[in-house]
Amino acid sequence: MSWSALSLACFGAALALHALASRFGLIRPAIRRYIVIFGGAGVALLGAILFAGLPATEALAAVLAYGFLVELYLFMFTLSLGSVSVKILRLLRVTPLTRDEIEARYAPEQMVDIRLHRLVVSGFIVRSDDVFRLTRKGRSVRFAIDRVRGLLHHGRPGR
Amino acid sequence: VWLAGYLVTHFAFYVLASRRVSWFAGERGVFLFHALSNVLVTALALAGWATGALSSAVVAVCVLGHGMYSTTFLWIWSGTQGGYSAAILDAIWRSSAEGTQLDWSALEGVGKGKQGGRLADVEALGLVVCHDGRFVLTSRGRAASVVAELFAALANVQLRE
Repeated sequence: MSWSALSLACFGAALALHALASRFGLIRPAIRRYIVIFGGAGVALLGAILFAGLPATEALAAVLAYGFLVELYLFMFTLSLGSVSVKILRLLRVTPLTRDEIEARYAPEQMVDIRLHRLVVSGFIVRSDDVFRLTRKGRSVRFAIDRVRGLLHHGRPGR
Repeated sequence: VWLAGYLVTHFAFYVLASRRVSWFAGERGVFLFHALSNVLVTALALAGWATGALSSAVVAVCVLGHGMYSTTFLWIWSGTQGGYSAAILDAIWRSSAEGTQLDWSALEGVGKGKQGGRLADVEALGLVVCHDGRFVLTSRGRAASVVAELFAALANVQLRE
């Protein structure tokens, strides 16, 4: 089997498994499901590469092809989950809407609630007595984001 | 090894250039900087393949390696630049550090700005058009919505999520 066929086979199998797991709500939250399934398929790909005895360059090409496809899928998957632009397109696919109707579907307070819920489920924040606090994981991520912002010369959003 | 060296240089150049030239720090700048570099690397790799100097696997390593680097960079860049979740983590951290209440109105303001801005963005991109006060998809918008719907169906993302 060629390096490209190996990559495509592993990606296709992971994609099908991920679609099934998403449909039946297996492995939560969504990011863990993604890591478990695509990470598992990545390990399987490494095993298949060793088994097939591919030369080093072809093995690297197979790993990069798989990584690139997985990353593109992650990009599209998170876009469909969180992007307001994508949600507007999906809404208008169902029926034409006025500006007020679009804004009513995604009221800012509702958007904040959805994000807070996701952050709680993912273990980045905890809620106690109606007060939100960052967990250790949340503090690490915020610290990392802050460092990247500094490196890439970004300001802080919402300021 | 050459590709790794090139990508490290590309990243270092961006970090330095974005501090001095504001064009690099904008969406268009960062996208063009990566798109042009991808075109350059792909063209050089294909030229090497056409002359027999590079195998197809090496060409794939060059193109896919740069593709992965650019996708990762743009993903991190957009997430840290204007991510809603990042803004919420910031606001919670700030309210804890300062011992103040969480500023809900500021967070909702971020959401309102995103919503208004995104509608203007998709209109400017020619994906939607306003007819008699109602927004409808253009043909390009319908094509984009089919792709969006396909990925949403694969990951079982409901419209209300």
